[in-house]
Amino acid sequence: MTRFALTRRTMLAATTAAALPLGASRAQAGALRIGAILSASGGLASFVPPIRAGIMLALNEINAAGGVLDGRRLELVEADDQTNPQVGVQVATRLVQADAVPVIIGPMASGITIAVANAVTIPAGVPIISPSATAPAISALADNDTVFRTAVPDGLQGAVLGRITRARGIERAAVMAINNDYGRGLADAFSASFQAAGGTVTASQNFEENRPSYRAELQTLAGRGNPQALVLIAYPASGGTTILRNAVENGFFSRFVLTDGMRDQAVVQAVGAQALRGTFGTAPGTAAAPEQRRRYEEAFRRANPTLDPAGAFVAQSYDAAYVAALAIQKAGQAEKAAIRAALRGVSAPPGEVVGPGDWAKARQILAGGGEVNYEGASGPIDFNATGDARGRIEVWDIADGRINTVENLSE
Amino acid sequence: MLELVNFYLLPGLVLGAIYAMSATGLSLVYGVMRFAHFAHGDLMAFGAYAALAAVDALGISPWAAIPIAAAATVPVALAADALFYARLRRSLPAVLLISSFGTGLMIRAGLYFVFGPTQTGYGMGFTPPLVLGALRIQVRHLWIIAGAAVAALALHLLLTRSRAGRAMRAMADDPDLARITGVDVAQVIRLTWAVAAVLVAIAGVFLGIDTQLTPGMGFNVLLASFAAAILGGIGRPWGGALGGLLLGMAEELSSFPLIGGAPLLEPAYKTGVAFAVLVLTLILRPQGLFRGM
Repeated sequence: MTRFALTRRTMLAATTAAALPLGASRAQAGALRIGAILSASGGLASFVPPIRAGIMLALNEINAAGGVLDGRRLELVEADDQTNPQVGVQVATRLVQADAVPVIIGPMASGITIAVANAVTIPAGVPIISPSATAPAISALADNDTVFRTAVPDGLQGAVLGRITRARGIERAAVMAINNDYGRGLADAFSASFQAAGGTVTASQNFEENRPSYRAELQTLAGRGNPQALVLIAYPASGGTTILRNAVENGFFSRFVLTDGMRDQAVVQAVGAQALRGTFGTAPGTAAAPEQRRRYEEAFRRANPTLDPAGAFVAQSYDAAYVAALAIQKAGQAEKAAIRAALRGVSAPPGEVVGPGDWAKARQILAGGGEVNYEGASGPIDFNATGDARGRIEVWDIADGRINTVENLSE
Repeated sequence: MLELVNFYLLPGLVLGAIYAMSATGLSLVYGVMRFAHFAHGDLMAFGAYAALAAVDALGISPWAAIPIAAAATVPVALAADALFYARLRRSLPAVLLISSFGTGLMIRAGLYFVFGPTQTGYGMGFTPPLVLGALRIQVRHLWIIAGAAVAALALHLLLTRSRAGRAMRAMADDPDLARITGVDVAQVIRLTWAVAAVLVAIAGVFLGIDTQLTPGMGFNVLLASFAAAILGGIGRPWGGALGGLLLGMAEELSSFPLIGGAPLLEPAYKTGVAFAVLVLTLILRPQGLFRGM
C-alpha cells in the first residue's frame, strides 16, 4: 500500500501527544479492549469498510464462542489515522497511553506503519499487526519484535524468481519491466536475488505501456552482454504480448521468464506454445487452504451481505484480529510483552491446526496447555523472524501449450 | 550500422507510416471542418476489428479484408457526423471536440461489448524475416510501407486531379469563399469523412497486422497522430504524412544504443521524445513544418 515519509513534524506531534493527560478512559470491567488504527478517512478510506468488517467478524465470532481468557469480551477501540503518518502517530500515542491497549491491529499503509512503529509502539513495546503494509522496508525495522503483519511483503515473488531462474541454469538475463511500482519493485527484487545467486543482469529497462512496437527496446537489450533469457515483468494487454511476439519473431530472445502479470493462457495463445517452450515464471501462490478460506468467506457473507470477503487485505484483517486474540489466550493475560511473545507461537507450527471459526476448539486446546497453529483465511500466517506472514509463491511453467503449476515455495 | 536499419529505422518507418495515415485523415477533417476529431483513434480500432470479423467469418487474410474494413468504417464516420457533429457544426470548437471524444468512447464501448477486452490478433503466426544481404525485414512491413505509399499517392491524385478534391482544398483554404463560389459543402464534408475513414481503417488493419488488436489500440496512437498532424502543419494532408514518418522514426531512434550499449534514452520515455520534437518544431516553426510550402 501507499507509503508515507516520516518527517520531523511527526516526531514533534508524537511528543506533544504524549504530554496529554493520561487515563482519560479506563477499560470497562469485563471487556478487554484491543486497538485498531485504520485509515477511515483520506486516501485509503475506500478500503476500510470491508477491512473493519473483517476485524469485527473475527471479534464477534470469538465473543460468541466464549470470549478470551476467563470469558471476557473483546472490544475494539478504533482510531482513524486519516491516511496521514502524523495523525497516525498521534492516535497511536492515544491508544497506547490513554486507552492502554495491549495490542494494535494496523495501521494500513506501509509509511504510516513505519512512522507509528518508530515513534510510538516500538518504544512502548506494544505489538502491532498490520493487515496491509507490504513495503519490504518494514521487515528491516529494528522493532524489538513488536511489528508483525499478516500481509505478505512485495519482495518475496522477486526473490523466489531470481533464485529459481539461476537454479534453472540461466546465468545471464536481461530484464524488461513495466514502468510502474509493480514493475520496478519486482525488477529490483529479482535483480538482487538473481545476483546473490550468482547470476548477471546484462541490462535492465523499464518500458512504457501500450506501445505498438518494442523492437528497438528488445534489440538494445539483446545486443548487450549476450543474455540467455528475457525476464519480462508486464501485463499481457498493455505491452507484454507485443514484447513476446516482437522478441520471438526477430529472434532477439528464445527463452522467457515471466511473473504473475503474464500468467495468462491468452498469452500462450497469442504467442504460440512452440515459441514459449521452456518459459517459466512465478505468481503469488494460493496461500490459504481451501476449506479455511471457504469457512471464512461464508461467515463473512452471512455477516456482511454487501461487502466482499475477497476484497484487498480483508482476509488479512480477519486473520490479524484472530491471531491477536489467540496470543492473548495463549499468554493468559492481556499484557503487551506476553502477547508479543505468544504471537509467533500461535501462528506457526508446531501445534494443532485451527482456522477461521475454530475459536472454541482453539480455546480448549490452549486451556489444556496445548499448542495451536492458526491457518488463516489469507494464508498460513506463520510469522517469520521479521514478523512477516509467510506467503507462498507459485512456480509455473508452460508445457504443451498449457500453464502448469510446478510447485509452491515459501521463503 | 545494419542494426540501426534493421531494428530502429525500419520499425520507425512502419510505425511512421501508420501514424501518417491516421494523421492525414485528422488533418483533412481539421482542414475542412475546423475541429480536432478525437474519435479518430477509435475509428481506427473499429476498422481493425471490422477486418477481424471478416477474417474470422470468411477465412480470408487480413490484407484481403482491408476493403471490407474500409467499407465498414466509412458509414460509421458518416453516421457520427450526421448524428452528432452536423448538429454542432456552428457551436464552439470545444463543444465539437468533446462530442467527438464522446463518440470515440461510444465506438470503443461497442468494441468492448462485441469483441471483449482481451487482446486478439489476425492469427497470422510468425514468419521469419526476409533476409536481403544483411538487411532483415518482415515481409508484412514491406507491405505496410508500400500500402501507405499507395494510399498517399491515391490521396494526392484525388486532391489535385479531381473536382471533388479541389473542392476539398478550397474548403480548407477558405470555407466561406468556397461556399459562395458554389461548392456543395455537404458533399465535400461527406467526401472528407469517407476519405479520412478509409485511411484510418487501413491504418487500423496495418496496426493490427503489425501488433495485436485491443479496443484501445487506436486511442493509444491518437496523441501521436495529432502530434504528427500538427508537426506537419494541421490542415495539410501531406504535412501530416511526413510528420507521422518523422515522429515514428524519432521515437524509435531515441532508444538507439549509441554509447557503450546503453540506450540513448530509457525507452520508457520515448513518447516524450515525440512530443519534445513537436514542441521544438512549434517554437521554431509555429505554422508546422510544411505549412506554406
